Amino acid sequence: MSCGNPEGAVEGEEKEEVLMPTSRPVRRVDKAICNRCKKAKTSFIFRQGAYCSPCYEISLRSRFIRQLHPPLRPGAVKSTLTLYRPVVQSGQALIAVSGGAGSVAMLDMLMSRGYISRSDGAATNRTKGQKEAVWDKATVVYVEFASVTGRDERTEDIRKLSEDRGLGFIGLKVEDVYDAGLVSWLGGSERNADTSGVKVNFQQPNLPVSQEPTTSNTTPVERLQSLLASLPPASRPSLLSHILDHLLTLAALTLPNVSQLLLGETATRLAQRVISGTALGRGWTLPLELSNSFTLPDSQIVRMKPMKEISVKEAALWCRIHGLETVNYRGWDDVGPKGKEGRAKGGAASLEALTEQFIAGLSTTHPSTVSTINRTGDKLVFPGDTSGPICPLCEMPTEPDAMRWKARTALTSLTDPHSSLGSPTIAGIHTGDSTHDNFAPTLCYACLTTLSGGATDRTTGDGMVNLPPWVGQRVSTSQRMVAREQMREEIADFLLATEEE
Amino acid sequence: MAATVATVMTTMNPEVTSNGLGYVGKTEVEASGSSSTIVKKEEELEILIEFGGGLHLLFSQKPKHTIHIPCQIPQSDLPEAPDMRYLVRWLKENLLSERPEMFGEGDSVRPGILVLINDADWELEGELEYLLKDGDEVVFISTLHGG
Repeated sequence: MSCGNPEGAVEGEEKEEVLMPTSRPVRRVDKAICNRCKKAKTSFIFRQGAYCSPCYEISLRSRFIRQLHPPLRPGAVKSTLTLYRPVVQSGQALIAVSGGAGSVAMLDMLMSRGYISRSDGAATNRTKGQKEAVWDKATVVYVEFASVTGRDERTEDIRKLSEDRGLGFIGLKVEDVYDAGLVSWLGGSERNADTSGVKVNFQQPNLPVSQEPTTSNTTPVERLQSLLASLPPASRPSLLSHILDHLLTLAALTLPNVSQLLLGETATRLAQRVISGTALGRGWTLPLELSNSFTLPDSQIVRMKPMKEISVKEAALWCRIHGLETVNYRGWDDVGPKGKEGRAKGGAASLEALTEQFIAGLSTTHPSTVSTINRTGDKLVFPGDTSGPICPLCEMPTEPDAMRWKARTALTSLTDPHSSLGSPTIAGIHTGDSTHDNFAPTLCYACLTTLSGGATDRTTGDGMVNLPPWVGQRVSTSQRMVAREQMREEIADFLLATEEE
Repeated sequence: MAATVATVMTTMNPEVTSNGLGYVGKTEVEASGSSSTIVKKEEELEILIEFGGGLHLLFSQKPKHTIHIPCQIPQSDLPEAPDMRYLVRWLKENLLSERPEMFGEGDSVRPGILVLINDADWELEGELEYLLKDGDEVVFISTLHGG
């Protein structure tokens, strides 16, 4: 008896019974003819399947619909989710467009398939095969990063892309996070006190914060550049990603009657997020970040990722076929002044860039890399409670005891260098006391790692750097909550017991 | 070398000094070697090159180029027709403005850059072994976002 491959058996010998063949029969496909229609000449190869151009578009659309429909029909039976078009939504769609292949292809598919009402107000003619629109109105939101990347602005290109399709357009800039009037500009009302004067000291492991009057004459761009410069190059893409998420969420919450926020994040980007997110310590909230249907905190707005099953290669080809101009390169890895830190292979300074190179390289020899990673990512389940404490920076739920984890896995400070041994020991971070003035205890593990990258030689002067107002606002809120809890503990002996007790 | 034989025909704006990534693009004369002739010769192939996904920023900010390359690889012992390997090398030596690591890796292009030959995936055409023909259209699309 053998579990080997019978092909290798010597001729003439008695063939043994094979329990576990070591090689599976490989399905040979003719790459010259489309695998789907079996007629036309092949144009593209995806995951070892070869398609002609029309079949490729059909395949792409079906996978798009498979992710688009379910969040819009939450109560529907699973088997009918993708068959029928969802009913007209009560609110408008906010479509985040970066100008890259994923978001531009998503916008084009939404418009070409009539998911959004035509701007001329013409009624749907079902006798001509037209389908009812799902959204009566949609707005495109774009965030410009030119001030920190140094690249050409693309706001006008995206505005034209939107307006040519009869959509509304909101153009934001990354430095707008420091603009106190942003909410008013978006049409909302300011609800909170001015928190633009909250500063943090990156030189201390506990990241102490202080509230200072906003007497500085620095512009929002200068404040943002100062914040980026104070962080190590490896942490900057993470911070920019949080700023982008915050601006998109803010626009969705502030603009009138938004019911869905649509992101064009492709399967390739999601696979990179799985790997780099895990490496950055973001495993706790990763399932929420990967989800196709995530309800934004304190609202009914659903964040969707309908391009979840489509690779960036497929999206780029869609744009090529339909003559849509895209710029995929955003260059967050090169933002800010160059530090003393070395760069990895390929010139990558951050885990995000390194992961991108790794997946792109591996995909050339293993075409199923992206789908394999994403299948693993889809199995992740968020173990916590979304109504719990929120990290001020990434605005996602905070895992319990992030400080203890950090103290156990990293050297955060050294003991007295003049001690007899003179060797480093794990001093840890203060985990239980004096959280009034510290930023670190309010952060999730990943953001704590991002911000505590050793900024001692980057900050100048007193080492204090302005935090974006939304972060300062959340820090103030969490500090007030901590203060209330501590006050309750201090006066616990004097509190009257309730009837239940 | 190929640079002295082949020519490139672009309509670059001479006032452009930055390609959007902070680099200075080459002038037309530099890009075309010692010759600035734009008329295709008999012993040359005319190839249409297009860059997408932001890759044009590395190629003098021009998304479309018409280049002329020799029918046979110069300085070769055997009369060989130019293939994609030769074209990639030619582009790196003659058309690329800056940051060669963003475009090429070894003999080939960097992983993450799609290549279409006459609107078909280059994997179907033999990738680097594809022999170029007169009038071919080669498209390079970058899907990399750099962090």
